[in-house]
Amino acid sequence: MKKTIAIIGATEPSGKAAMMQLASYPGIRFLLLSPDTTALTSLTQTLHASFPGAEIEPMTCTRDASWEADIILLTVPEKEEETVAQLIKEVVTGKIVIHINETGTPSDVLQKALPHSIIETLKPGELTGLSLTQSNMRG
Amino acid sequence: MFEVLLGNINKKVSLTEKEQELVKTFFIPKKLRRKQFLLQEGEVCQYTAFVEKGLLRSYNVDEKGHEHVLQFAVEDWWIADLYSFLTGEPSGYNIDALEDTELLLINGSSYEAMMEAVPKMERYFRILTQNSLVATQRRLSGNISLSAEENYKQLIAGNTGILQRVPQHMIASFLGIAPETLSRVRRQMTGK
Repeated sequence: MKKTIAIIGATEPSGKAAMMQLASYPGIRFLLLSPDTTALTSLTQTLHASFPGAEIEPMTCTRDASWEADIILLTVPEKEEETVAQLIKEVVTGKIVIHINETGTPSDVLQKALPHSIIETLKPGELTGLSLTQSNMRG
Repeated sequence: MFEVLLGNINKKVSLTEKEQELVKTFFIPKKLRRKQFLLQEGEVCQYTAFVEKGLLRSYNVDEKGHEHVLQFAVEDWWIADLYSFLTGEPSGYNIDALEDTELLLINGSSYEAMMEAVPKMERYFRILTQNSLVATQRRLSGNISLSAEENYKQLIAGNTGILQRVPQHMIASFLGIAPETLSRVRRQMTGK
C-alpha cells in the first residue's frame, strides 16, 4: 500500500520546510492542509513545479485527510494543537502523529488527546533523517 | 465508524460496552479512494481489513497479464492475503478498492494483543475461520464440479449485492470463465 502523509499546517513555516524536505521521497502521497486556501494553492503549485511527478494534493477537510493518511505531520502553532487533536482523534488510532517543534519537547496535550496514536516529536531538522520506507513505518 | 464491525462481532459473540471500547483501540481507521491499493503483489500483507463501507477485490495477474479475481469484499466482510499476513512472506495478490472505501485495519501484533485483552475475540475469529473454510470448500467444489451457469446461480443465491456493483468482466474472472461465456449464461437464464 502506498503510504499517505497528511501535513496539517502545511503553509506554516515548519510545514513548508517539511514539505521541501519530504516531497522528493518516492512512493509517498502527500495531503496538504491549511485554513489559508490561497497560500495552500500557491504552495501546491510551487511543490509541483519543484518536484514534478510527486503526488501532492491540497485538501480542505482535516479529518478526512487524517482518515486517509497513514502518518500525520502536525505543524500547526502549539496553541492550535488541542483543537486539531480533537478534530482527528477518532481517525488516527494506531497511526503515527509526528509533532514538529523548535525544541523537540514532547507534547503532553497531544499524548493526552490522542492516547491510541503513536506520538513522535521531532525538531525541524530531524525530518531529513526520517525513514519512510514501508518496513520502517509502523501503523 | 465501528458500527458494522461491532454488529458483526456481536452476532457471533456478545461483547460488553467496556470490551467494545477496548476492541476499537486495536483497529486503524483507513479510507481508500476508488482504484487505490490496500496491497500490491510483492509487498508483505501487514493488515487484515474489515470493510465498514465500500467494495474491494483481491486478484492476481498471470504471465499473460490476465487478472484472476479471488474474492470481492463488501460491507461486513473481511479481506486480506492470509498466507502473507501469517507468514510474513511477500504476497502474490493485489487488493484494490472498486469504490471509495472505509476500512478498519488490524496488524499482526495488535491482532494478538486484542485476543489477549478480549478473549472472546479468539472465539469470534475461530467462527470466522470456520465460515471461511466452508466458503472456500464450496467455491473449490463449485469450480471443479459445477457448470458456469450453476456457479453463477450460486453467486446470485449468495445475495451479497456484488453483482449490481461489479463490472461483468470481473464477475466472469471471479467465476473463472470468459466474459463472453458469462454473457451467454445470462442470456440463457433470462430466456428461461
